[in-house]
Amino acid sequence: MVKKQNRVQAFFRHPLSQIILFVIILAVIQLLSMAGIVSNSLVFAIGNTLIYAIIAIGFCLLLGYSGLASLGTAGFIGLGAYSAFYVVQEMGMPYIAALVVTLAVSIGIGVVVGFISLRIEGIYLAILTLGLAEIIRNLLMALKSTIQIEIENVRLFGLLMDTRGGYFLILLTFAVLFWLTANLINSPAGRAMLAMKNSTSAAQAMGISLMKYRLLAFVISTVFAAIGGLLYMMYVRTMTTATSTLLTLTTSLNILGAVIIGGAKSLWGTTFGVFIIYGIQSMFLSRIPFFIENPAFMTMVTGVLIILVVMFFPGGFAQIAMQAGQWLKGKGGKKKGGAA
Amino acid sequence: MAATYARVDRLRRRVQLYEQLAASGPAGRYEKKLAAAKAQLARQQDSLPRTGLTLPEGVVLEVKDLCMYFGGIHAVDGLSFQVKKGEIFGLIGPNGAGKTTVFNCITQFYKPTSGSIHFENKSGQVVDLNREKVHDVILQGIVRTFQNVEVVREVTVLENLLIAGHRQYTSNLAQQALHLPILKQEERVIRERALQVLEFMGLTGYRDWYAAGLPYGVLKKIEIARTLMCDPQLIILDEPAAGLNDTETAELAKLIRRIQKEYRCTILLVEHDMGLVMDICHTVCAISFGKLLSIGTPAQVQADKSVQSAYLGVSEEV
Repeated sequence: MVKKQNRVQAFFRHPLSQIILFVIILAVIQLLSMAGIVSNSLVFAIGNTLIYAIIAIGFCLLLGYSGLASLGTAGFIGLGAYSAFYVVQEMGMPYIAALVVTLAVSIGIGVVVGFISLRIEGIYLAILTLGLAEIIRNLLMALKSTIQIEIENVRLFGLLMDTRGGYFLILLTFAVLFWLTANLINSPAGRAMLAMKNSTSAAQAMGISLMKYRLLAFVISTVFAAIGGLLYMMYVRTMTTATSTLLTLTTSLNILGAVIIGGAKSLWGTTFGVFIIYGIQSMFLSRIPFFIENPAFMTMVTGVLIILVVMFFPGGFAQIAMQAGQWLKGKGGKKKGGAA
Repeated sequence: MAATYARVDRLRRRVQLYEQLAASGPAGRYEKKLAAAKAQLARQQDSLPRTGLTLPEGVVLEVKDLCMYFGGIHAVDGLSFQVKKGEIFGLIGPNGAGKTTVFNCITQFYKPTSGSIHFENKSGQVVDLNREKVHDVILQGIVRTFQNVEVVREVTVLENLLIAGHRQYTSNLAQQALHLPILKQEERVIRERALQVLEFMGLTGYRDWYAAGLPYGVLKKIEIARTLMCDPQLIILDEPAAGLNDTETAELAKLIRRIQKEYRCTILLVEHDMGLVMDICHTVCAISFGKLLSIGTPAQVQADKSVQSAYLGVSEEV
């Protein structure tokens, strides 16, 4: 009996089974909406949030593991979005080509920022990346006021990626990237990043190359953000560069907030944090008249959440969940003790 | 050049891994891979560039005319000394004498202004350390600790040792991202080694503790434990006794002797605790303002007039 329980616990602790479970639940939600039980707008919001979750996972590796602060996330998203538009709509090439271009561009940018991070650290790196994001945003505004991809062009291997197909593709991308990141975190590379975050000199003395792992962290977070932009253009298909908040500091801060609220060192915590921040905005706040009239106040709620979490649970929701688990366990243990 | 040494080191690790797997796993499964890795290692070792450098018999590290200037400040100024293989070598001097700077030069945290640092590495070759990158020095067999403890605080003690074993992994990033079996095998072997080191250091009880919040004495021990993770040829200890009480210092003296004996390595240390230095060191080197004052056995250095005046000042009434 105990053995069986342990096996069940081990199953749920394994990242792969957690991901599969998560994917199944979200896939079922989509199926329910097809059956008309769940509203389409909710499912669309979930798909949108998952895109942010992909971006946040990359950012988690950068901030939580490598200790590098970046405020350039929005710029990298814009890069992915624009290359998707340019390759697919302007050049008329298939969507897979857009992926290749996006990867190439984002790896290049990631390497450049990674090199910069070897010289500039902390808050100055954040300012620098913020400047970079603004440059990219203004560049996109100058290039095109509205980028839009027609639905006929969003095809992957001949399959039309409409809202439903796109949802499943996003879910699949999320699962794969989550799994790869989780593996990387639990291997020498993840530990090397943590060592680098805690003490650069100790890391170097242990044979860890700062250049290699800073570049790696930046490349991964940039690539994930660009893939987010790519998926956004497939899912939402249109963006007004001048007014879209996706390209402004708000997005970078929301991602940062999600990682901090969720727990900077936990991928599930980060995912949860994204669902809290974007979920609260799209599901609750956008129904309250006050917030509909003053959308800027929505960010305030995020700010208050960040303050509360940092003050009382610096480890984020991951810490809350862990403490709750321990508390429950302790209670259960006591009960057993009382019975015996 | 460093890249080739890195490759040889990786291959040596791989041979070790397969040897251990062949010894523990089912027969005939790893023998072929082992033979292939061995052949590759031999080939690589033969094609290593010969540096043409030599050291006198029995000397493992030679520092010659080392200078490290920070602008107008001459932190180390024309320092020369030799460290013999298998000895415990103490570097002493008043505050600001440049002891830690010497260490930072040897481990390439600073690139010396001039002078040479030659070292006989694990392959028995003499290398010019100034040509190595700071994170490749460990491949030559040199590891160090820090004056103000630099332990990775947000991971457990065991994981700290795994971090120290970083360069022993041969699996690349793709293999790590996919968690391929080779990574798991390596992880098992390196974990085993980490547990042995913990046992040796008497830290087994702290294995799963987070380093943050552990007492200072334990953190210092973790630092020393980390150096043992990579078959060191030369261990550099920067003030290992700083902040320890008398009992802990006595334990440390025993520990350093045990490490030197069991791991058959050379130990180079900076220390202000003269009792400890005079007790355990075979050779002591005293420096002041970056210049050599005296070198010899502890008794010789203690008797040296220039050392006495550097520490205590010159007496007015002669």
